[in-house]
Amino acid sequence: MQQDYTKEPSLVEGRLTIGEIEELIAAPLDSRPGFKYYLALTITTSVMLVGGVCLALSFWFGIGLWGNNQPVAWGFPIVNFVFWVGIGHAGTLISAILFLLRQRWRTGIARFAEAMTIFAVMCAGIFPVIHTGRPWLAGYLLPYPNQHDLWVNFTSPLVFDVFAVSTYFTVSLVFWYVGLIPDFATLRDRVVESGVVSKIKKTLYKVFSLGWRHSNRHWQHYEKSYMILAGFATPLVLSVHTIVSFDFAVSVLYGWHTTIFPPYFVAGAIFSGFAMVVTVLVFVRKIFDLEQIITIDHLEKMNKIIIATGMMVGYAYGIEFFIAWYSGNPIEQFVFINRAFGPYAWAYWIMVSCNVLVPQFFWIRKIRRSVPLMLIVSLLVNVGMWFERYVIVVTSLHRDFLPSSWGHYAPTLYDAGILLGSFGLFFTLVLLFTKTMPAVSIAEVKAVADGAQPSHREEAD
Amino acid sequence: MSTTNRRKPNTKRADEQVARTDETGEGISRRKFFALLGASAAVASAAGCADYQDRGKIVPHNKRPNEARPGEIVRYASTCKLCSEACGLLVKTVDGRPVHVEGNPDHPISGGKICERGQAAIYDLYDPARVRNPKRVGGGKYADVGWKDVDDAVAKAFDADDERKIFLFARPDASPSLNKYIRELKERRPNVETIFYEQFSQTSRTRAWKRCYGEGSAFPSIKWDEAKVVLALDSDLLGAEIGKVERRRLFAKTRDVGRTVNFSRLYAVEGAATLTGFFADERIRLRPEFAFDLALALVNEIANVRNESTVPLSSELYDIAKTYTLAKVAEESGVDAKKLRRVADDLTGARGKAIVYAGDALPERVHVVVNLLNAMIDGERLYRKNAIDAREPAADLATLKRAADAMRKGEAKLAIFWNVNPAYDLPADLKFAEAIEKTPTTVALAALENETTKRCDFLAPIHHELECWGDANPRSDVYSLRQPTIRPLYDTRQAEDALLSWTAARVNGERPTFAPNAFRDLVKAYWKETVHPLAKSAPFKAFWNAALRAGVVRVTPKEEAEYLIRRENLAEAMTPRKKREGLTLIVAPSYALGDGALANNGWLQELPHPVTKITWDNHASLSKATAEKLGVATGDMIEATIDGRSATLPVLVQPGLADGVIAMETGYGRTDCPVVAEKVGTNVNPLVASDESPFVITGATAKKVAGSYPLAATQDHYAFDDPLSKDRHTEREIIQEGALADYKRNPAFLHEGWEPHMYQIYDPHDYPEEKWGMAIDLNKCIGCSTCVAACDSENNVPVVGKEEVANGREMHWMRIDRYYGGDPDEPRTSYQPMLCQHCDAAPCENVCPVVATTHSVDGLNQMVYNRCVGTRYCSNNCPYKVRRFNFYDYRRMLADGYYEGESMELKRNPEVTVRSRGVMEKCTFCVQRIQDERYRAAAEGRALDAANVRTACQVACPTDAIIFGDLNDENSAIAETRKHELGYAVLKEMNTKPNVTYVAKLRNTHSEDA
Repeated sequence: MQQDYTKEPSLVEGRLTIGEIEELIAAPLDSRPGFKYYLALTITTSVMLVGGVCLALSFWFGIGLWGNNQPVAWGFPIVNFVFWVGIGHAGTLISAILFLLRQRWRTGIARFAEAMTIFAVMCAGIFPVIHTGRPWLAGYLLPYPNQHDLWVNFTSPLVFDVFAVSTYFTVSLVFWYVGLIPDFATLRDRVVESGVVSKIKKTLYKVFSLGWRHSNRHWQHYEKSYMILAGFATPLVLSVHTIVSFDFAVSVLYGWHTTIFPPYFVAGAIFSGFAMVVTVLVFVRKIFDLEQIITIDHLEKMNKIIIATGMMVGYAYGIEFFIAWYSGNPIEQFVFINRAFGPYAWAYWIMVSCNVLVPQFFWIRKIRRSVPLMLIVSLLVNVGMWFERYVIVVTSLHRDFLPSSWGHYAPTLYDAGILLGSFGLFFTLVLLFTKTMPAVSIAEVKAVADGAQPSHREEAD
Repeated sequence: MSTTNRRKPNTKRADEQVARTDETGEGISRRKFFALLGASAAVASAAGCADYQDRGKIVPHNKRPNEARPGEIVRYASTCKLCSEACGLLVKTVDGRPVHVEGNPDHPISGGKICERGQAAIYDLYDPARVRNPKRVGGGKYADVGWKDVDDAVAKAFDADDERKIFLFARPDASPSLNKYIRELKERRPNVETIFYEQFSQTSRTRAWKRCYGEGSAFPSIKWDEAKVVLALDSDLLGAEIGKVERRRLFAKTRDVGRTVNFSRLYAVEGAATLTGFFADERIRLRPEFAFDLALALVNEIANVRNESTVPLSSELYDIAKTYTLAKVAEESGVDAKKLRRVADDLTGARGKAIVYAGDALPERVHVVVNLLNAMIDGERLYRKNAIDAREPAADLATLKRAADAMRKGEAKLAIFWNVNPAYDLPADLKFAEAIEKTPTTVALAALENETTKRCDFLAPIHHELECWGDANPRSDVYSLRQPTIRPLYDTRQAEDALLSWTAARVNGERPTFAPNAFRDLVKAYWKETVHPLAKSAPFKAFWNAALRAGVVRVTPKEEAEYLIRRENLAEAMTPRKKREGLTLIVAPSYALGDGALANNGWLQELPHPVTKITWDNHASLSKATAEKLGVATGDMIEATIDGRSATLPVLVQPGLADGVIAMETGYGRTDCPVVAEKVGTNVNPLVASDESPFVITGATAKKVAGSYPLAATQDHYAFDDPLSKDRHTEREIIQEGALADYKRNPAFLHEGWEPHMYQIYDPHDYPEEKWGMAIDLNKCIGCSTCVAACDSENNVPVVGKEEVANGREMHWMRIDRYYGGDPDEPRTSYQPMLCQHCDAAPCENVCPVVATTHSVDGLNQMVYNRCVGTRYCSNNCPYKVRRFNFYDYRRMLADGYYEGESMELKRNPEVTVRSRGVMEKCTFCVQRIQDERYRAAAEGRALDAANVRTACQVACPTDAIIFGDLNDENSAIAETRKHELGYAVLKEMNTKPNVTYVAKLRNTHSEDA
């Protein structure tokens, strides 16, 4: 059988009309939330509350409630911070970099991935603040003029972090919002005024759509600004995790002090970000009947990125060991041998199996295109990437230079509670998002639907 | 930091009662002045404190007394009362409250040093659990009463017209005035029997000495600084045994790398693993019951085999000795005979400069053989002739048994327990608890509730030693005085005053009223009568004031001691005991808590054991082989049994122990005590019986029992023989050391080989004036941890409790790292004090986001507590992991805020910030002391003199291993030490440029090992 491999399969399946696409995407926003929705929300908010209680107790009694100690002065909070920042990488990558690369398939997933970025960075942002001994003084990390002549230390990567993460968050938020404007306008126009609720709804959409009228002029401005923002966000995708990696790479601690960290962290972040997007989208497309818009082809493409970045991460793991050996430095060599064979070997091997071995299944097309199997793989990748940060933070610290100060780190229930709480917050925000904003960009999907851009070749087909 | 007040000559008038430098002549005593100050004012508001003995009106001075400046440090000379060694103290007071204790440099025995216990005992003054007023005790319950009730009860028993006995139990006291009074009392009232006892005393040494050298003799002070070869026979002579302060100080003089010809060789033969053993150049693991055999085998080897004895043996002794040979001892005990022969080689080779020292816990017969051995190798030349023990000998177990029997039979009408706890620390077979209950009237003079006070009728609370008057004559050439440094905080009495009033001669049948300063007057009278004539100095008043100011008076004894051993008496003492099959138990005093009297001191509980690094617990130490045989591992529970007596405690598998030995420390497992000591560790006293050798018990059995128990150590969270972590400290050159012979062959041996080439990104700092630095001489560091205790006290370091130590959150700014290297059975052990290295290129400084840790112009790495947010990045980036984080508000951490109380506020050094929750802290090089000198120099219009700045750890170090000073001053001791060939910086390749460097240890091992 002859196949034309140059032809891209349809991005929207089922030959949906533009009107049908709009109906499909806006459907969750038109209906009242049902019992299942409330149940889900109850679960996520309860989990969030668990984290809130653990956090409140930590504020009240002191962070001694956690497992942190000497020598492992950073524990779960920093692990969670890096994990969440990593999760927050897929969104902007999909919406900005893939946009610039003219990857049209991004339209189906960009909006949701961007939303996840925003929420993940929100979760991440909590941790650097709460992990300090005196979180009420976190403002000291901002360089504000004051009569004490106090200034921040610009040689400290933690100050870089403040700027990197806040900039990333701001730009991602703006980018996301700009993309939402045409859809807000569409939603505004869809609201049938029939009561107080719909009036409020209409007002809100009105406000957020900034008077969008789908005019040609609007579209021209929009496309330009979107392009500029994409260009602006692209370096941030790379910079934010580079700078997060500086938290480690700038230190003198073996296991942290490695020049490979910036690319390794960025690859890892994209890896984990895509895995999280796959994990969530698998459910979203099912629940909201978006299987025709977020197609199996979309998922497969993301899985390909997962296998690519997974191998980059695997390469970094290998290189770390090679450099440790090549350095000839016995302390550095010890840190890596200890990582793989010491008391935290279990964590190390969880990391390696989940991040390097498990994604290899994606070489097989059937697995790549099987929803249940890809869900398992992406979940394991998420687990693996969390453990990667755990391994980096804990194993490097727990046995450092002087054997006399070697110690052991074990998280407490409070640590676990706060981590759980951050997931609660994340999924609460995701749930609220799906019920208030279009989970997929209506305008962009319309633009890539079959027949939306009529051309000679396509007609001849 | 000056001691001017103490040293200033007495210029004008002198008060009758206290030494003062009050030149303006205001008629207000120092004690009264204290009442005005914060200390008393704060506590006066507390309940139960209104009953001051001196209820003067409190009015402010309109003229400031000369010696009292608010905020100024004033030091008073005094004498430590913790043990009968009676070290000289300088008590540092600020605003009338003692905040720190240092050694009195003029004191000839302690020479400016005190031990870790003395250093921490100041906390007991402020212990919130101190009993604040007299109590009546009944059914284990304490009820408040007045002193009159106690006085009446005692008087009733004392004056009762019968000849039933009156017992006074007290700790051995070096006070000559008290001892004289007790002797007179005995004459006046023959039914009063005073028993000075201590669980761990020197009775066998004293008895053996008297047997060897005559009844009237006493053992001398030894010239440790002149010794070339020392054999410590089951003796922790640098560690826990009485007399350690002087021994540490003198012994360290033989470890001066500047004069390697003077290096001594220390052999330690021991069953347990002690600080002394691990410091020794050669260590031989030998079960303690073989100590007697080994000593006799050495006698035989030297006298018979080699015929090198100075003293010929009598035929009787010859017959005894000839049955013991080194080969036989080696074979029976499993020790390498070659090693034992080397001991004999060295002892005879260094004739006149060699000495054998037997442990306090060894029975009299071993001490007798050791005395003979010393005579044979001319070791007597190291005995000082004019400095012999002048203390009243402590009572032995036989005396105590007699007293207990008498009490149990109802032959006693009154028993007074002064600062002793026989219900806890005496062997169970004496049935002391029952003895107390069978005595009609029992009074405990104690500062804290304990097992004995609970069983008495009255608890009469006593002063802390810093509230007391007193004197001491521990050695024939030394008299010292104790003076109060604060007004009594509570309605307590000095125990001596109470005793004096209870036992005073009745005038017309009337007992005299209580006189609060009766003992002071007694001391003064004694000094006028006895000490003043010896000192041949100025009029008594001037002499007394000068003595109070100096704290100590040296006298020359009228006659010199002669050391002629009486061989004829010895044979009968040398009866061997049958060694029983089974395990050998060694019960030693707790390194930090002693016999348990200090158990309520959180700082001592948390002082890491110098060898095991365990805090807040005792345990059964076993060698690996023994543990394998019994099928136990660290953390398992084991039940040790001897003759039906048993104790169950957690196991610690420890390198270096003799096989077949279970070593344990007592002082733990207190039951009726304040909350800090409660449920800490296990009471092992039930294993002890009133035997010839109560603390070395043979024929024991042990078995694993169910359960496990976490031990909280500050170090070693990994197995010492795990191939992954083994010997990393030497591989990383953290510990660098060599043999003395190597050094003599090539002084630069340490620095030969590869040197890293290093770059620095940042510009180096300028140090235009001073640049503070420290050097630690590992040749002298014995790991005793006195510096840790001193640092805690100086820098307001909190106690965090066992759980937090187990979490790895101990707060000590100074720690002593202990590394085991090599063979786990014969470990090569190294100590290394580790503190903030004050790096010139400090990794902590450039990662702090808020500049809370900065570099000073004089080379200090500083912490700005109020800027610290607590990101802890500095700690992560510190290669030495010396930073400490306040995970909680540690002031209120222990036992629901036990140490948060008002009284503890008084203890805090006002010069040092008390750190809040959430901030990082670490060693400051005692910046407050540096600043003090800076201000002082500015006020006096002179240049800063770096020699005036001495850090707390440096002052405390008993061996002067810590050298501190200005590196910019080329002529300073520190600059000299920095240049020494043996000097090295830890983790040099990190290029942190530490300002703390170490002098590598030289082991004076036997040349065959080198």
